[in-house]
Amino acid sequence: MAVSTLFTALLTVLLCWYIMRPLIVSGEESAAARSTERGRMLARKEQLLQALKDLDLDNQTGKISTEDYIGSRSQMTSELAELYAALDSAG
Amino acid sequence: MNEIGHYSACLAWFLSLFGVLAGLYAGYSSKRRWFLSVIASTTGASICVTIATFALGYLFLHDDYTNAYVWQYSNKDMNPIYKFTAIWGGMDGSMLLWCFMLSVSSFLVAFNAKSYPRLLAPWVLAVANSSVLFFLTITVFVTNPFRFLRAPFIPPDGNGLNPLLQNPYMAIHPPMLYLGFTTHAIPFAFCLGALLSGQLSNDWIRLIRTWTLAAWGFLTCGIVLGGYWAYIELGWGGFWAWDPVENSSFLPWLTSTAFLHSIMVQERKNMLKIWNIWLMIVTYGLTVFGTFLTRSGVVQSVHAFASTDVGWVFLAYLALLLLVAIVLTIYRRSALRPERKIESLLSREAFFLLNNLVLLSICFAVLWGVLFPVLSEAVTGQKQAVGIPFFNAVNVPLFLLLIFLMGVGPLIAWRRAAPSAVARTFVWPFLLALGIAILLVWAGIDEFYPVLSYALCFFVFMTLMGELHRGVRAQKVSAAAAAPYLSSAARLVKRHRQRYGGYLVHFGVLVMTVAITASMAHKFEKDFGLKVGESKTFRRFTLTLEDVHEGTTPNYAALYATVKVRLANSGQEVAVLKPEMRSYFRNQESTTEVAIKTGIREDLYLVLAGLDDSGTTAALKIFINPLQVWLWIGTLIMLVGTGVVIVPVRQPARSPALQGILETS
Repeated sequence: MAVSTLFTALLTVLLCWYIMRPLIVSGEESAAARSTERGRMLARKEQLLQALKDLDLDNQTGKISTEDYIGSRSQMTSELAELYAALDSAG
Repeated sequence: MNEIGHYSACLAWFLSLFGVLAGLYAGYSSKRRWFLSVIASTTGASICVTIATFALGYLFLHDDYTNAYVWQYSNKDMNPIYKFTAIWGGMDGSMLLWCFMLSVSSFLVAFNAKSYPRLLAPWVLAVANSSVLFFLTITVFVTNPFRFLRAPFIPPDGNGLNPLLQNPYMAIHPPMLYLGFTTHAIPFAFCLGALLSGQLSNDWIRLIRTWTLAAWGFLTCGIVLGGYWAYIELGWGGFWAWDPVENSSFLPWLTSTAFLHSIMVQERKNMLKIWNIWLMIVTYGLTVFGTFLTRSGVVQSVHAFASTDVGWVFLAYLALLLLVAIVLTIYRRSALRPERKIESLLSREAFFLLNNLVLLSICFAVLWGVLFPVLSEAVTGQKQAVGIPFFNAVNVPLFLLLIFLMGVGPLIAWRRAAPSAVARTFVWPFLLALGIAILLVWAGIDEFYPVLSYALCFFVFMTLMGELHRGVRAQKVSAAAAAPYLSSAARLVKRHRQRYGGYLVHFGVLVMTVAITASMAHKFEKDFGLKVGESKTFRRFTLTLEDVHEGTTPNYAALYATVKVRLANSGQEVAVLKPEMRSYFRNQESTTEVAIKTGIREDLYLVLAGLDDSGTTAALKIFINPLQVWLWIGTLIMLVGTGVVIVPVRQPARSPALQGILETS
């Protein structure tokens, strides 16, 4: 048997096993979902913290009205507080 | 190896098809097992395409002329580097390279897919796999690079690569451009995935940020490398000729730039949702359309390396994409309604929208110029070409407007800016720019656009400096610190890296604009003849022909000239230029090898056009291009700025100050 035929046959078998494995072997779905949600919350937290810093700088350099600044900051900090609470309770 | 390559590509095709179908099912049914299986199939497809690509590289490096593509684009005398880069010397290999980059990008998405929102991720993978599937369909069924040569014997040598492509910059320009095109497929996959899944919050915008910036950076780099290649290889003294294929890479760059600005408005204000979705769809569509232009041969171009009749397949794919996107947008229209409206024309969101409109106007003008010969032929039966003057006449004022918006937009307040605050911010930069304009006219530069361009660049530069100064001052006040100015500036930039990275990109654009203006407005060019020992003076340089002789290499015959360059006023020698003219044996093509003396003030660019009938006088052409090097330096600054913006910012753990804020909220 030619080396190329052997190689391609082996590659096909390995890939078929690799792709079908998740369909055959059951995984822990709820744990995975929790991990995804935690990842999403952490990413959002990072984004909000940076947005808060930028908002403060915009305020200090006069690029945002006081009314807008107070409103946006209060909205961001509320969301951040909720995120921290959710992250703390998720462990 | 030919069989391994072909079989791997076929297997990748099946895996991508599975990825599309299983991805759609996983998205529809929310079954995690199927989602995990799609991740595995995407990884498998990527492995198979990688094997196929390396198999083709192996065939090139081992001069395997049983492969028709290798025979057509390589020969034994070629440098091994060019044998490898010959992979993308023609259509078949270019498509395989495209699949390779696309599948690696899809693999990276699959690798991180478990961290994406559950309801969005399977749809994203389905769309990413559909892009890979389309390009693999072309590779496997239409442009297969693993075809055996149909000949009664194996040829002893190959046809050879187009000499114009045997250049180091050509080795990296196409892959960089392809990277720009293929990485745009990922933000597109998220965008269409969000439409399919109905997950139209700002999550998809957050997730594609790095991808879009990287794609934009690659495309910028690819376009400029193409310009640099044209500059040093084609011998016409310029870097951009509004060639249809150059334009086809520029079109998605324009819409991608617009997208990068308008997503900031969506992130901050929850506006422009449909606009952003369509900007991304159009950007990806334009990468496909660009490939159609490059591959179909419908337009005349210097990039005639890879014209085939496969272009129409791209057009059909594009039509299908647009149809799906239109149907989905209508279906999801209620979720795409903006939460706010623009309240004042004097606001950052209004200026960002204006910036988008200008970018799209340039895009439309360029597209019109590209398609005009085709449309005119369809309507009148006669092909009417649109040349450089059209593109310059339309685009120069639009670009200058864009530069102006670049200076104003980022510095103006969100929602509504007070006219007095705007006046305070811009009055000094405006007055100083006006002073520069008057100074330039006084110095003898009296053309309108160059003066306006320099003055606008100075205006934007001053606004950037003013912005930095205000930031440092604000930080010093809030921190009540007596830190030195420079260390405060450094701390400010570090704290707001993404914002100041963006400003660095803008600064790079300014440097490029000054260089482009100078090299367009104050360029000098002249055809002339020189006998050996004779000298001629052009501007501040005196050129003396020292020698001219013929020679041969295994690959080509050449005419070599040696020209000494001295400063006209002092006689000081500054360079010895050695332009060449080559005639390649195998494909009977002639090329000029330009000699360039690069300097901070200007480039001295010398082309050898041949010998006169007597064989004693060398025909030469000189170009003096002011500030040319700053175009490449400006690009580097833009790329560094892009890198600064891309690198993710890690926020510190919960600080006491933050804890206080959270408790009071």
